[in-house]
This record gives sequence, C-alpha cells and structure tokens, in this order.
Amino acid sequence: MAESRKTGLCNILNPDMNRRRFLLISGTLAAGASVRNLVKPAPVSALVTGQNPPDATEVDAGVQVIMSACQNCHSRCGIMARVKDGVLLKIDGNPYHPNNFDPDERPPYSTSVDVAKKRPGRLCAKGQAGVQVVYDPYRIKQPLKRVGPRGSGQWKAITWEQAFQEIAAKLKPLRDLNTLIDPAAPELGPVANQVLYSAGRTIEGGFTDRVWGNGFGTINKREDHTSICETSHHVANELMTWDEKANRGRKNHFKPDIVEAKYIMLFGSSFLEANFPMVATARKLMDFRAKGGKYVVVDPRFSNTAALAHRWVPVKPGGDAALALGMARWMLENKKYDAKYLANANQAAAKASGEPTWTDATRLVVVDPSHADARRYLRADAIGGKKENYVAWSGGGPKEIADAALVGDMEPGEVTVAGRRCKTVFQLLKERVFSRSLAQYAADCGLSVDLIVTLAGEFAAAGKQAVTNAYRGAVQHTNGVYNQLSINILNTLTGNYDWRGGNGGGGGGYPEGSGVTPLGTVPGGVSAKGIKLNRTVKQYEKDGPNLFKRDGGYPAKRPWFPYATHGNYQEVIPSAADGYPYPIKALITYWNAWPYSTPGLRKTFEDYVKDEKKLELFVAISLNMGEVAAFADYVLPDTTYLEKWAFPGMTPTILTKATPLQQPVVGKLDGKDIGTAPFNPDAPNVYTPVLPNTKTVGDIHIGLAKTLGLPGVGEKAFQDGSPLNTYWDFYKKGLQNLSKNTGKPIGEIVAKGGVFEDPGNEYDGKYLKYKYGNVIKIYIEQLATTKDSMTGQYFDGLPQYDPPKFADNTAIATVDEKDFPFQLITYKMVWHAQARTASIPWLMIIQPENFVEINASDARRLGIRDGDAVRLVSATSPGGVVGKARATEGVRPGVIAVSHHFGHWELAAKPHVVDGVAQGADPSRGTGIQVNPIMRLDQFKGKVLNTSIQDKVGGSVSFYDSRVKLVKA
Amino acid sequence: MAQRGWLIDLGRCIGCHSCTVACKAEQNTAPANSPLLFKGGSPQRPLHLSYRWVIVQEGGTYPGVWRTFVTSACNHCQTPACLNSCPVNAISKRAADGIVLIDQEKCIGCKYCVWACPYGAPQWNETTQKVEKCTLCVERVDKGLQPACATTCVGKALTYVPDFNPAQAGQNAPEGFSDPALTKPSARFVKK
Ligand code: SF4
Ligand code: SF4
Ligand code: SF4
Ligand code: SF4
Repeated sequence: MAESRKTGLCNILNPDMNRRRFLLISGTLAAGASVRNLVKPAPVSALVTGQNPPDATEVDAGVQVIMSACQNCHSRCGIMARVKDGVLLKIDGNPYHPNNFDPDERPPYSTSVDVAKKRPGRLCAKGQAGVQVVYDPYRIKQPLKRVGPRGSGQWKAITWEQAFQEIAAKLKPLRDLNTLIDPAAPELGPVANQVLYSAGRTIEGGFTDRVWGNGFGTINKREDHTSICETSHHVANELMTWDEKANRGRKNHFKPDIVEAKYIMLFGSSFLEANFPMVATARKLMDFRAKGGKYVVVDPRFSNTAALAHRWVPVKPGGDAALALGMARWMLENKKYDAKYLANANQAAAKASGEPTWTDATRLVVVDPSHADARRYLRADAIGGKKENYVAWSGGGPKEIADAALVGDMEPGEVTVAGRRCKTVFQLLKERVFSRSLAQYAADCGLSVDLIVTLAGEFAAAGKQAVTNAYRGAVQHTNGVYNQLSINILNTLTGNYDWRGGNGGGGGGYPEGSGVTPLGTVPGGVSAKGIKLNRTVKQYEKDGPNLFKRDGGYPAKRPWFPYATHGNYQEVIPSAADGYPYPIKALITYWNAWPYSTPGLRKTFEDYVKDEKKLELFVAISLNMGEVAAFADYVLPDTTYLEKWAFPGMTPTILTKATPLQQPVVGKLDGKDIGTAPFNPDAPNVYTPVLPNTKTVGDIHIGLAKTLGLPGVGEKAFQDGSPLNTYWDFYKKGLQNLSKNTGKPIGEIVAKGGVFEDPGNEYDGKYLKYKYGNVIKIYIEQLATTKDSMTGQYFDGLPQYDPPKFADNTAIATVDEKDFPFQLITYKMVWHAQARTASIPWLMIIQPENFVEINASDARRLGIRDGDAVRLVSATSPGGVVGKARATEGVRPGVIAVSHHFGHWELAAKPHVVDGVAQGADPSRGTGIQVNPIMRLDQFKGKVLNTSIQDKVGGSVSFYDSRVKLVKA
Repeated sequence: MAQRGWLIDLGRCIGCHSCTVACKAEQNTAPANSPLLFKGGSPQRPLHLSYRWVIVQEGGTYPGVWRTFVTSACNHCQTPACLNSCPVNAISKRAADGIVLIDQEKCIGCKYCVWACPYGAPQWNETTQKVEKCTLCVERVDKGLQPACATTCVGKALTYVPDFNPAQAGQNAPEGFSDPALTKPSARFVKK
C-alpha cells in the first residue's frame, strides 16, 4: 500500500491505544473486568457482528448513567454519561435538559432516572466525542517545569507541592496592594495589578474571581476570550437595554422564539452549525421549517444553515448594517412598522396597549450642538419635573415621562424646550436611515435594491412573528456594535420583544450563588482597584487623567474601550508588550489558546512571552501542550470538562428555567470509581481524576491560593465560617443554595444533572412566559456622550452603516483593496469547536483537513484548480500561509473562506520532551491551515500597531475584515 | 413477521454528522483503531468503517446554490441482496424483526456482499479482513431501547421505526437512492 502510517507517532485510534488501554498505561485502572471486555467481547444476540463489541447499554447490569453538562463547545448541553467499572463508555444527551429535547419529548422533572435514561436526549457529534477528550493519550499527566528557554519544548516533571511553592514564591512579592505601579498615575492602581489571570474559555469565573480578585487583589482577574467570540453582540444589546441607575445593560442576549416565529433573518448566526446551543437551535429551526416558517441566511458563505433556508443572502462581509438599514428605510417609507408600539413612552402606556416592552422613540434628544446638554436625552428637570425622568412631546407640548401612561408624538419636527432645540429619537432615526438611498445601501452591502425590498416586505408581513438574529458573523467586525444595533432596529420597528414567536431573553436559571451561603462573599477579601491592562470599561480622558495629560490628550497611545463590558482578549498581550498603560510581571492562563485563536496575535505573543525580562513568570493551566502552554514556565495540568464541577448556565433560546450541573463523570470520589457507589453529598467527596496527577482547575486554584495564604480559601473561607479546601466544598455550597431555592433535594439535583422547569411553561398566552419587560433603546446616549480615545470625537448614538475601519477611522478597503483583492472570512463547522477539537479523531475523520475556499469564477480567473496549493498573503504577513484551494459556488466572489479549527502547530501535533523523553504526538492535529496569524494588524495614521483590527466600541476583534491576495504556492 | 426500519425526513437533515459519530461511539467501529494517514505530507481519510454516514451533495451556480444531506446506513431490506450473495451463509435476517446481521465467525471476507448491496452498507474491515455493517443496534433494540444514531439525531430527521410497514406506499426515495424494487429497503423518506 502506498499509504503508510507515520512511524514513531501514535494516535488514540491506534489499535494499541484505545481508551481502556489508555487507562492501563495511565496506571489508574487495576487489571479487571473492563480489561476482559476489551480482549473478547461478550457476544450480543448470539453472534459477533463486528471487530469490537458495542458499548454496554444504559440498562445493562453494572452500567450507571451520570447526568452532567458538555463543554466540548460553548453550548453546554446536558449529557448523560454511561459508565461501567470506572470507564466512560458513551456520552448521550441528558433527557431532562431542554437543550437536548423539545418540550413534547422532554420528561417532566419528577420522572425517575431509571425511566428517563431509556430515551437519551439528542446530542451533537462534538458532545459524543467527549470520550476522546478524556482518553486523549497526549494529555499532560503531571505538572511540568520548563528546563530550556521558553518555547523550547524541554520540560521536567515536578510535584504539585514544588509547583505551588515555586510559583507562590514568585507571586508573593507581587501581591502588593499599597505600592502604586506609577505614582504619577495613581489611577492605574497597585503593583498587584501586574499579575494577570486570563482564562480563554471559562465558566468558573465566579470561583476564580475569589482567588484573583478578592484574594490576590488584581484588577486583571479574568481576562477571558469573549472579544474573540461575539462581544460586540453583547455590548450592543446591553447598550440597547442600558439601566442608567445600575450603570449596566439589562440584557446581553435575545433569541427568536424559533418554533413559534414565522420569519427569521439570521445575520452571521448559523443555527445549524456554529450558533449555540446548536443542538437546540437546529432542532427548533427544523421544527419551525416543518410548520412552514421561512428563514433567511445572511452570510457571504453558503453554510449548511443556508442550504435549508428560504433564501441565502450572500452579503458583502461587514455590510450587514447596510442591509438592515436598507430594509428599515423601506419599512419606514411604506409605514410597515408598529407605530402604536413605538409611540408608547413608558411602561404604563405599553401595558395599556398589550405590549410588554416600550422604546425611547418618543423621547426628546437635545440636538443643539452648542448646548451643554447636547446629544443627551432631554431631562424633565428642564420642564420642572424630576431629573431622572425623560421628556416626550405630546399634545403639542413637552411632557415628563413619569409613571402615568404617556403616548408621545413620534414626529413633531424640531421643537424647542426650555431653550434647547430637540428632536424625538424616532425623528433622528428616520433622518439617519434616510441619509442613504436604497441604491447606496445596496452598494454598501453588495446586494440588489430588489432583494432588499423583497426581504423588507417579507419581514414586515410577518409582523411580530418576524425576528432578526445576529451573532459572530455580523459583529466580529470593526463596526460590530453598529451592525448589531442596526439589525436590532428591525426587531424594534415591529416591536416583537417578549411576544410568542417574537424575540425573547429566555427562561434563565434558578439562583445558586446565594440562598444558604453567598458564594461571592469572601471574608477578609480585598477589592481590586485601578485600570485593567486592556483599558476596558474606562474612559481615557475621565478615568485616566494623568495619562491623558502625560500623553498630550488625543489620540491615546492605545485605544480605550469604555463600553467593552465583556473584556478585550486581543489587547492583553500587545498592551503588555508595549507596557501601556503599565507592564505586567506575571501571567497565569487557563484553557487559553491566544496565538492560535486570536487574529494577528501569534508573532506579538511569541516575541513578548519569550522575553523573560519583560514577563517574569508565566504559568499555564492546561489540559495539553497547546499553543500557549508551550511557552510557559510551568504547566499545571487540569482535568477535562468531564472531570469537574460547574454551574455552566443556560442560553436564551431555552424558554423555561433551568440550572444545569456539571460534575465529574469518571474518576474516583473518596477512592471509589464514580458510578460504582451512590453519591453522598455529605461525604468529603475528595476527587481523583482519571489521570491521578492532574487536578481540577478549582483544586489548582485552591492549592496555589493556600500556598500564598490568600483570603477566600482554606479555613473560614465562607461567610458562615466553613472551609474551602477542595473544589467540592465550593460546589456543595452552590448545591445547598440551589436546593434551598428550588426545594429539590441535592441528591435529586445531582442525579438529574441540575434543576429543570417542566416543559409546558414556555408561554403566557400571546407572550413568552419569561419577559424582558423593559425599555428598548434606539438612541444610545452612552455612546453619543463618550469620546473615542483615538480621535477625541464622540461616538455615534444611532445605528449606522460604518465601513470596516482602522483605529484612525480610515476605511480598510481604501488602504488594502488594491493590493489585496479578497476579503478573508473564517467559519465554524458543525462538528468542531474553536481551538479544542482538533485532538479528537472521531471528528477529524469526518474531514481530515480544511481548505482555502474561493468562488469558482475567481478560481477560474486566477487559474486555480481544486487541490492547488495557494499562499494567502496579507499586508501584515507577506510570508502568508499555504493551504489547499477548493473552488466552490458557495462563497461570494471576492471572498475567501477558511474554517477555524485546523492548522495547530502545538496541541501534541509535535512532540515535547519531558525528563529527556520525547512524548507522543499526532501530526494529524496539525493538518490544514489556520489563517488567524496572517490577519490584519491595525494601523493609525499609517503606523502599523501590534494589535489586530478591532471594534473600538464593543471590543470585538475583527475576524472578517482582513484583505488578502492569493498566490500559487 | 415484523420488520424494523427507518423514517428519514429529508427536510430536517442538517448534515451535522451526529448520527455518524453516535454510531462510531456506540459500536466502536474501526477506526476505533485508525489514525489519519499521510501520503506525500497530506492527511488522507483513513480506511474507516462507518455503519452510518451522511451523503452530502452540492450543485448550482452562485448565487443559486444547493446542498442536500441524506443520512444513510443499512436498510435491513426485505429481500437483502447481501444475504443472497454470501457464499457461506454468514448473513442472516432475523425472523422476528427482519434485522440483517453478518456473523463475523462465518464471514470469509470475499466482499461479495459489498458488491451486491445497492446502498454501500457492508463495510470492509482492513484489520479483520471481514465485512461488517449496521446491526440496527440489535443489542439496544432487543432491550427496548432505540438505535444510538436515532436517539441522538439533532434535526429529528432520522427516526427508528419498530414496526415498519412494507406494504405502505410512498417510499419517496431521494434522487440517487438505488431502486427500492431491487432489495425492498426498510426505509421511507419524507421529501425535502
Ligand atoms: S444526526 Fe440527524 S440531522 Fe444530523 S446528519 Fe444525522 S440524520 Fe441528519
Ligand atoms: S442495505 Fe444492503 S446490506 Fe443492508 S440489508 Fe439491504 S442489501 Fe443488505
Ligand atoms: S464478505 Fe463476509 S459477509 Fe460478505 S459475502 Fe463475503 S463472507 Fe459473506
Ligand atoms: S442503528 Fe446502530 S449500528 Fe446502525 S447505524 Fe445506527 S448506530 Fe450504527
């Protein structure tokens, strides 16, 4: 045979390396019953039907099911793990969990596990492949300390004790809460802020904040990955639902009530692939389709979601707002909006007309640029009312919007109130929308006027059962927040919020953070102060006065992100490298793949972390030798998501309440294999993972924090005086809270994998049962009154189409288009997550590599054929990256699409050395290409910066605005 | 005689491959033992056995593109061509429920069934030098459970039918599905 397996490298699917064998090698399983199973199957149905026996079923003797939650992507679906003799056999869906079953399939919570388990819930390919995450032979098996230079791949094994002692010794002097980083800029805060903790993926922020925030006292306590995911979506929705009193958004995520809607428009939100929880959104979208619902997919790539859609709308990447505002223009021109809904100025008026929500459409905004109140909503104190109230125009004069029902005039024209020239928000929106013609919008989004009009007509015809939903594809652009705000306008014009078949915020969960013991209270804890390294939720001029003065005002040396409420992941390392606003000294990462998963970061990351003078300590908490861990001083191996506790949370596509529980499904509790003895919540529940020399992320934190002597762990860690010595101690408290709040015994919660409201509670007549029930804003006063740190200009307070731009607001296309004719986009396949799934053979087998996907007409023009090696080159990366071309009709011309899961350069795609011995590796994890490293770096007035292009409002990194050219390799 | 079978709703199959992976995970099919292969530095799809797989077809010209998904496995036919082709009677059709099984102890690896089956269901196992195929998760259905691929189906496209009625009209076979008259497959489709 011409094909041969590469020698010297093995793979989990090697016959010598199946999961039971893995356990033997790991020394965790005494030769016993499960080994016999491996050697010779007990024949089923009297004959042997294949090489290997099938798994024992959920009703077989000795088999137990453990209900938990998946984390092989961020959907966090319910899982039912089948275990026997301490071996994880198969992962199915948790039948009680609403992600995994429609209401008409899901058993009531009172159903016993023995009955419910006979019909496992639905689960995707990734979820089932979790078995191969636990039994990955290339996981790190004990703590490692670097012996060569950073990144050299040379390690020695050390004990946990040694790791904690050495790391604590380096961190201790940095836990200085009194000395300022820079006495000339006290706003930066104390030296403790120079220790930075960054989780890529985290659902345990509540726990780790206790250690890094309340314990250690650094303001950089949880610099997580959201800004490389969908941050501008969250930020736009928060701004749309901003609560002035609390100074935060009320809601960051709405989803269509998919099944009951009639028309759904998906902007960069792939319900059958990447959007989450796919298992629920896909199933519901197919239910919707079967009922005759029509959905439209706005995406430059013909996705699987597009394949089943009513229409595929191949928008120009980043042109989403132009399409939405073009549709809005047609709806406004043709009076196809709910004027009655929009005229309600407050809750009482909304209630009287049967609307759960209301808007700011009739509020007056001061438009006089010279007035001190310019760009602000007019406050009622100007007309003798309360300062916190707004003003509408009604019955020929200004009226305070107070508690009594008030219906406002939408278009009174420009009015003058107490010497201030004002217009209504609706008037301003109309002027904004009408500032471009349909033909201009069509050109901006690369579609035809006819199509825009058709879509607007179809959307409007479905009334409140027409919903738009946008996600990553529409918002991970430099104009992300404005795209999202513009797409939201279509929902606001129909007033579909909280309606059955409309747009909703989901059922949410039952609280587990308090009830018996408040988990967030840390006796003796400190509260961190200062400015985050990535300058999120701070305004340059206001919050950094000394820096502002020192640096001569605008522009700031690097952008500040006043409304990036979900952080900024891509800015962390480049800011540290620049030492702006201050240098950091120690970096602790967890489940983090920075250089792999962040556009334009690889070079900056590697250059920075290699410099031991700049970065004194680098600790990676990591399952495997990933792209970050490879450069660390210490690698602390944590457990998989199938070996830890968490309250993973829910997403708004689920209309009923649920609080799922994630718990270990394999490993040992108090020395006994999970599933071989009944769970006892009152036992110590000391957990031993499958690889006994690894620890849960929680136990790693507890061990390190105890060595450091931080408050919040050890004796008297909780408000009630009880200790926190193991991760279970924390989750026991959470379960006690949840039990108190729901009336369900802990044993039942553990057995059923959480608490789930019964199906049948989705609706309240014409409305969703769980309502947002508050104001929806069209005008974003927060933005209109906040300055862009790079220009000194105010941000725009209205939805707008803003072409993709650099930090200095020059359009990227005008600089790069000539030399780099293609726009590069990435996408997620349905059977992969981002950085974590290339290690899973069952998934890699489906498609062993990825491609540079190019429209067939572009390929013909360039003489590129399927399978040709092509080099993708950007202004940032003249060397580019080489991949295999695939010509397709399913990508918009002028666009190159590459999936975002392949091309790992670490993750055991190559060996590393421990104690002089090369560890196993599997080159199949490195197949295909990853284009993030060649994505465009930002620039300011011609000077190239060290961060990728990003959204200055929301903080999102741009994945879809880089320009490239294609060269035959 | 009862007959077990499938109902496949082509308008609901989303191409997610969850059924494929469910089958691999439940049945431990090879490659429960095959790494990706390399040829000239490129990864190759390994010689793999999938009792179930998803057929993806695409066509059209931008922007009028189409893509279809059809999940596929053994159809436990009423007149199985595989069974008739087997020279050593390794293939049997269970009288009680019509499930078609290949006895590994009897199979001599001649691959006749592989050629005879119009649906590509029998799978050659390089390691054992024998042929395997979908068992309809016989160890599960015998205990009153459903096949692993059907329980997991994300789009609710694939349904296990315990009492497939061969007499019922309207098989609605999609384009490219071999003529049902050949083997009378126990699968019925709902058109897209
Ligand atoms: S699991 Fe269901 S929806 Fe997904 S590919 Fe298989 S048959 Fe189609
Ligand atoms: S589908 Fe093929 S293998 Fe299955 S019973 Fe029919 S002929 Fe035999
Ligand atoms: S390969 Fe095996 S089962 Fe198939 S026909 Fe030959 S002997 Fe029979
Ligand atoms: S019925 Fe069982 S053996 Fe057949 S394809 Fe489905 S999972 Fe595989």
